[in-house]
Amino acid sequence: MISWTILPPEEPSPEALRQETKVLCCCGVPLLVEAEADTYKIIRILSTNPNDYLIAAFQPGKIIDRQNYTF
Amino acid sequence: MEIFNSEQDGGETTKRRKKALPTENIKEFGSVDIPTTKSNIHVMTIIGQIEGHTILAPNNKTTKYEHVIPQLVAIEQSPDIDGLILLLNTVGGDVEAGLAIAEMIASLSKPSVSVVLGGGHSIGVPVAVSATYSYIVESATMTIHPIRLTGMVIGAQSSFDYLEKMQERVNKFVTDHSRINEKKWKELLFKTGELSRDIGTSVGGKDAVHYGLIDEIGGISQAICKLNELIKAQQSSRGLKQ
Repeated sequence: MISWTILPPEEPSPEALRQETKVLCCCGVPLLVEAEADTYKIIRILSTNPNDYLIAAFQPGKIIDRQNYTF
Repeated sequence: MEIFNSEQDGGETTKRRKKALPTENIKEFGSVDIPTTKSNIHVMTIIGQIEGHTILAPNNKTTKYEHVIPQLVAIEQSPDIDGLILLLNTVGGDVEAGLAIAEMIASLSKPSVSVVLGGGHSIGVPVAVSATYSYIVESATMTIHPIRLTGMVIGAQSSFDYLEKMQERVNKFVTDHSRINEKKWKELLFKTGELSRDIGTSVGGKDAVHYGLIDEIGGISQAICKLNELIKAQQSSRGLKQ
């Protein structure tokens, strides 16, 4: 891989602190979530529609219940 | 990475979604779903590092090309979307992934406007200039420096040639998509004494416009205004053709 970045290549990368993330499509909105025991925690909204960022239920940090998760 | 698709079981989920959602939200999130309105302008953020073929450690904030490229295809194809705003705050990243994103943006038939906020360094430069019109906020900087190799490098003539070809691809893209000439670009690229660690230049907002790299100084209001103008111009030119 050829990288072109201002970050020095020797920068140490700390241990992975976070859990594995995955992409969910909830109500048509793509979300980057962190999978927890029986919930999903929203990390980031991946949609390009600016209105999706205004939906209160999809604000980063909100929890989605796996049981009641709707596509 | 697991991707759940709403289209997997046809119309069934759509029905379920429509029926279940407002009450589900009150129950699960303690909030009511706001009515979503359609926007004819879509927004894309190029943030953190541009991730290429290697997955970066989870503590890195990244823009992944496998997310961005299909979104660009969707924007191009959707009849409801007329334009794209690109918000950049990137430290650079994988050259080929960055060039792929930049080429995708440059080849969109719909107008696009980029805004460089904070920083648009290294591979962020081709991405910023790929839009139809580019803005930079005055406080933002763009670091222009030659491509470096990471990891084990075999110091042979062929690896040097390969790196030089890669640099040429970037040089050509930037000079083709902005007002900067090749001489000036190379001068910024190989300038010594400007950056303490390496050769290269850190270009501020005003200088980026002065060198012709970025079109204008401005923030989000100017960008939206310009995009609406470009959309109108495109629509009227289409009207004339028909």
